[in-house]
Amino acid sequence: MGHQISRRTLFRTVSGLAVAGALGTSLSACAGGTGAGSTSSDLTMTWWGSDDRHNAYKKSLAYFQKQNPKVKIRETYQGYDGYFDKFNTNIAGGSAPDLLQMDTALVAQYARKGVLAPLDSYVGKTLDLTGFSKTLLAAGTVDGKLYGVPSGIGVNQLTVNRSGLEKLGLKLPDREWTWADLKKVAQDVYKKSGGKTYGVDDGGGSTLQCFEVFAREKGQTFFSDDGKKLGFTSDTLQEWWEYWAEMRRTNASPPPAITSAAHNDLTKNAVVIGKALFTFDSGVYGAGGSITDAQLDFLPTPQGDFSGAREGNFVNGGVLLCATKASKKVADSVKIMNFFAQDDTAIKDMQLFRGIPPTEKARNLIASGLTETDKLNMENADYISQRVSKASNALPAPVPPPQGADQIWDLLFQSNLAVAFGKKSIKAQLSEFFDQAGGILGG
Amino acid sequence: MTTAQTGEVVKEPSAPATPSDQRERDRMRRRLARRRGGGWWPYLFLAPWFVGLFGLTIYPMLDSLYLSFTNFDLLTPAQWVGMDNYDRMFTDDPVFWDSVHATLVYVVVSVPLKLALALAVAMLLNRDLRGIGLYRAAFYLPSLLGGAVAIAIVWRQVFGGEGLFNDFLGWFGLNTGQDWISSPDTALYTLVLLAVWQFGTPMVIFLAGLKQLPKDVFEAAAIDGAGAVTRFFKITLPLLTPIVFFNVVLQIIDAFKTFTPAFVISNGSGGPLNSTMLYSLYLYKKGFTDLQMGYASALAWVLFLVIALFTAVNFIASRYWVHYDD
Amino acid sequence: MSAITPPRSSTSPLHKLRSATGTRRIFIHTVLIGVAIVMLYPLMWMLSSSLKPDTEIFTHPGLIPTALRPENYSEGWSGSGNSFSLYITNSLIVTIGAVIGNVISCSLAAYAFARFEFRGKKIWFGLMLGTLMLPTQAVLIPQYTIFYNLTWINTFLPLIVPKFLAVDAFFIFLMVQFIRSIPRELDQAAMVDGANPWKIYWRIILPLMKPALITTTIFTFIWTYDDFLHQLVYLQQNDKFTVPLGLTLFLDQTSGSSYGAMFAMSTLALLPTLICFLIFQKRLVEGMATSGMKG
Repeated sequence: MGHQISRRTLFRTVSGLAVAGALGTSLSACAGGTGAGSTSSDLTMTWWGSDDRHNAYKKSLAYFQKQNPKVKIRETYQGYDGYFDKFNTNIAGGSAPDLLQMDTALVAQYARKGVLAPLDSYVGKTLDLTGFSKTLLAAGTVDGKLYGVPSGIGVNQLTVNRSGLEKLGLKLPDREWTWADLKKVAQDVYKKSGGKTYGVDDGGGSTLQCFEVFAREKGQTFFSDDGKKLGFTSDTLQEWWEYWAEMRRTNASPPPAITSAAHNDLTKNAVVIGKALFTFDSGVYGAGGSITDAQLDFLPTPQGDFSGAREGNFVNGGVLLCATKASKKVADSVKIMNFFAQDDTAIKDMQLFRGIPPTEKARNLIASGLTETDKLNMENADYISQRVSKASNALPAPVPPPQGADQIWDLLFQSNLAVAFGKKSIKAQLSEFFDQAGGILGG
Repeated sequence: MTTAQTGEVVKEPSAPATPSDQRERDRMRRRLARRRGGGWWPYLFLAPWFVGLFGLTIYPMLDSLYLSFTNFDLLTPAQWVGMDNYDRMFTDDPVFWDSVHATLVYVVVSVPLKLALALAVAMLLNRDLRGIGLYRAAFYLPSLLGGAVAIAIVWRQVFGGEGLFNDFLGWFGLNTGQDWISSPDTALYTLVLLAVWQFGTPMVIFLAGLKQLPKDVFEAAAIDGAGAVTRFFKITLPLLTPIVFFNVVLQIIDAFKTFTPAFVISNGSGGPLNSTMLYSLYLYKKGFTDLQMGYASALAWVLFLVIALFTAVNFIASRYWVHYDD
Repeated sequence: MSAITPPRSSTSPLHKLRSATGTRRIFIHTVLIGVAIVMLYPLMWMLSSSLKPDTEIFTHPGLIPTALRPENYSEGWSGSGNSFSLYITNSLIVTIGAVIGNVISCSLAAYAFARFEFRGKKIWFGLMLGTLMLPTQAVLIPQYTIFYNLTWINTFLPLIVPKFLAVDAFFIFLMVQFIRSIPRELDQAAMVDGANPWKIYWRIILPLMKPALITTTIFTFIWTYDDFLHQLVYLQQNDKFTVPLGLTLFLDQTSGSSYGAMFAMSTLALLPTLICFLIFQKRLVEGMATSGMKG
């Protein structure tokens, strides 16, 4: 463990001795194992989140340890900033945690590198996944093996400033709406507000993968199943970019400066700063509150309005719990995963802090204690997951994105921005996009 | 302007020298020269530094040099790939050139501005004024703020479409509602402005240098009727050259390595359209976000060589303008 | 302690050196106050945000809060399980350790470089500067493995011990420049009295380079206090967290954030660095007055 770099041992000992000699400490051999620098045999668990999530985890884990006095858990937690930097450093240095919260966008990368432990052998024995739908488990499944247990259902939805809409005398669109409906209502917002407010933030750079829904409506995926290629055609992306160019031209969407400012920055989101009423960024509303004082509501991503359009929405898995392959305590980690998946106390403690719970049972358990907006949020997610499971023409749920996905998403965002700023024509940007994306995935 | 005392450093006045004193002093000098050849004394003083140098610096540097010839991804064992990383950098990586361009512009524009401002303010603050301590603290504050999350948000607010910067321009009727951070044509200059805003570090070093100047020189010059401007150029600046030199060298090195402001202004993305993709930010993204530590190490070494070149030129040039008192 | 103005029609130029005339003083103050306001604005914005409810901060980003929420401070202080005072204590342990380490080890090395001739001095000096030029991110992983093998992960040692080994070349170089501007006659006078190099370092050089030592203290304190990356990778457990790590606990783009509490604690977190700066910059001013060049 941690000795991926055995050729360093010689060097290391020399330099280590130099330091240790100078300080009179003794050099201890690297024993691998877990919990960097720890001598105890605790199980180390790490997650990211905000205050509410930390407290919920800690409360549940305290209860778990009461039930399982043999398992000693050492918890570490932080914000998302730097979480994966630390994890990567730990792995490189040979001190990975036993159990960690994992981002669905990164699970494939870590699984394929052999960092995570496959869990299939525990399913049905110590890991009870009753009530988890197949499409949901896809979020933690890489190349046919299960590596992570999803914490909840996540959906691609639009967050709407409902009070703002009502002020302009506009109605909340129906859940069965199409891209044409979105265009219409967004243009209306701009007209009715006298040019003060745009309709919807610019989705051309695919804010949180709304483009993926569009591609799926056309029967295409974002990434191919093996993650080595893109799954959509140049025509599809061209149509998408032309749609958004039209949206910007008619002021249904804001100019690129606003889009660019909001990139990776919730505090500059168009709905938060009052520059738009619809946003694809679901971060505007998290469990535990929002950073805008508007009354919010939620809608599914619009549907295709062309003939033969498929159901494009899909359900993904919130965050995942994964065990590391090098860990000697995978069995105990699985126990903890199972506890969070099925135990009533844990479910109640966790509320919505890891997303909307994954099973029907869990959703019923917590429904009573929710705020108005939380309820709306859960209803919309419920609606989408039911519509998706009923749809006969929906593609299977997307596979976890491959390594390099981050770069592709960023490329898509920057490409749309280049078009929006008028630095490139759509045609020129298309060929550049596919060229660079091929390099990233093939490289 | 009466005397020829300008630009010459005034030595401690000592008692008038008699010939025997002179001989005594020469003997002293010789002994000193031997002593300066130092025997084991210098090594004693340098002992902790040697340990740190070999144990904590040189070895990691060599390690990263080795990694730059591998495809190390942090998660699996590194494999030797020869010159691939260096090859890719120069022939097959458009973002690399974006980052080189952004970094060069940043260095060339921000360093002179920042140093000029720092020296001017240090001169202003190096006097007896009521509340001078508070001014100093106020001017140093932006540099105190480091790179915390809160500060990132604050800066992005300041330069945003409805932020302070536009309000400020508004006083002069120049407010266009432009969002400076998120336009690819201006984002890099907000970065420069942010760097200049944080001129506190060189300012404090200049101040410390000014405090160390021998007062009697100024008093003598003032008695001789030298004007303020003359005194600055003929006395202050020559005496201060070691500190000016230090600041120039370090600010250039720092500017090349700048990471935090770029990270802050672009929220870690280097955008819009790579316009704020400073080299270090790109290196960090490659190494830690894209898990290409081998490639990132190669990037680091190219940067290292470029900085070393600039610094060497600096040192060679310094012989012609830096004045030491030893 | 001199304000330098051109002596115009005065009988006593030295007197003129002491103070500026009234109108000029007012002018200088006006300029300084104007600049100070511009410099301080971001801080004021932060302070005002720390008193707003989360829903207000970004929707009404003006300076004057319309609704006050002082609870941000109490909630932030007692946030996720550990009191913020713990993080501040940890930060102080790390920063004070680093300050002591830097002042001692860097001044020793700087004295050797500035005042001795020895074999390969130029090469060593070049190496020292070279260590400044490699980006931190590139040596982070190799350094991590060293400390991992010393079983120092999750202790403060990786953040403090290197400072005692003078790894911050910035300060060595700074002190070298300062020592080189101290006239050599002073050392030589001591040599005449038969003092050995250690005595000269201790009795003469150190007191004379007080401005450099104070500058080192200020910067080491502030930079260590703000150093997110190293603290992030070396300190694993929350009871070892420092202020920058503690501040990240409030924010998570995916599960809701407490911006108000974060701003509140960020504001408080500035106090130690501000206090450090205020104390030591005062000493910076006194530095020369007491050590004087009069030998």
